[in-house]
Amino acid sequence: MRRVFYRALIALHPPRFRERFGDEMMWVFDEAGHERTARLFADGILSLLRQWLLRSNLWKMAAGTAISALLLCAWGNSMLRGVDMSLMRGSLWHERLMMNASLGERPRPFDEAEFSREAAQAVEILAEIRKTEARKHHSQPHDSLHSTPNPSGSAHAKKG
Amino acid sequence: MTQYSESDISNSEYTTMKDELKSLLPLSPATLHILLALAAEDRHGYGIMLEVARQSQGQYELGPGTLYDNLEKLMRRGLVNEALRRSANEDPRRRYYRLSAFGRRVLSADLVRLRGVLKEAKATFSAIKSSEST
Repeated sequence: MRRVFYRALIALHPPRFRERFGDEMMWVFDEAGHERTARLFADGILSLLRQWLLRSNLWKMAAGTAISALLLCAWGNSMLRGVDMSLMRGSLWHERLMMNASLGERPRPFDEAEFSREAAQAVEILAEIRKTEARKHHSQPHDSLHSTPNPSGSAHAKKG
Repeated sequence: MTQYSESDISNSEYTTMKDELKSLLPLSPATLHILLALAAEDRHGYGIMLEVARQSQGQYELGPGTLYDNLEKLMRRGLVNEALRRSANEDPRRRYYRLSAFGRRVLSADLVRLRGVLKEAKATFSAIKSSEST
């Protein structure tokens, strides 16, 4: 039974090593006797790990896969950031970022509270401007407004 | 049977050795024991294991996995060659290994290195002992 297990352990080795030394390892197992079985099994397991992880190209494949995964993650992250930036473009926050960049400042991370505050301020300023314009509009005499010819209207009239 | 003489090991040989030889030093314990086991005569794998256990008085035991991994490396680097079978009646699974001339030079160089280490260790310990006694 032990012999069968040891043979299976050898069979799990990479083909290059197994074909060259498998029979010899089995012969050593037969010669060594039962008293060294535990030591031989421990050595066989260590050998199995060593041959697959260090001597075969498996570690190179694992390293290649890990590097590819890292590059893929970095690319995905940059793509997502690009999408975020394109969505943000035209917004107040984007203007602020561009301004910071032009001033040589390091852009701060997006602060939602600050953004909302600034947006509210901008809305207030816009409302103030509209009010001022409305006041100006109301303060002007109605006659002068009516008497002023509308250039676009006259153009349309001419066309018609 | 290959004889190993002390004259093989000399400081001049050690200093004039090639870069290829230098790159192999220092030898790992397993490699050193395997080369030492093969220095006296050609041996098969199990014979190497037994000889290593004898040389180290049972303190260092090589398993077949470690042994054949090291033998593969040594054969690839040209330090050990496979030898012919002694008789046709032997188990066909049994293969013999022989130390090459290059392997003998590498072993000699490492033994000179170890002798230097031992000399240095002795000098250090004697200095410590003398300082403790005073």
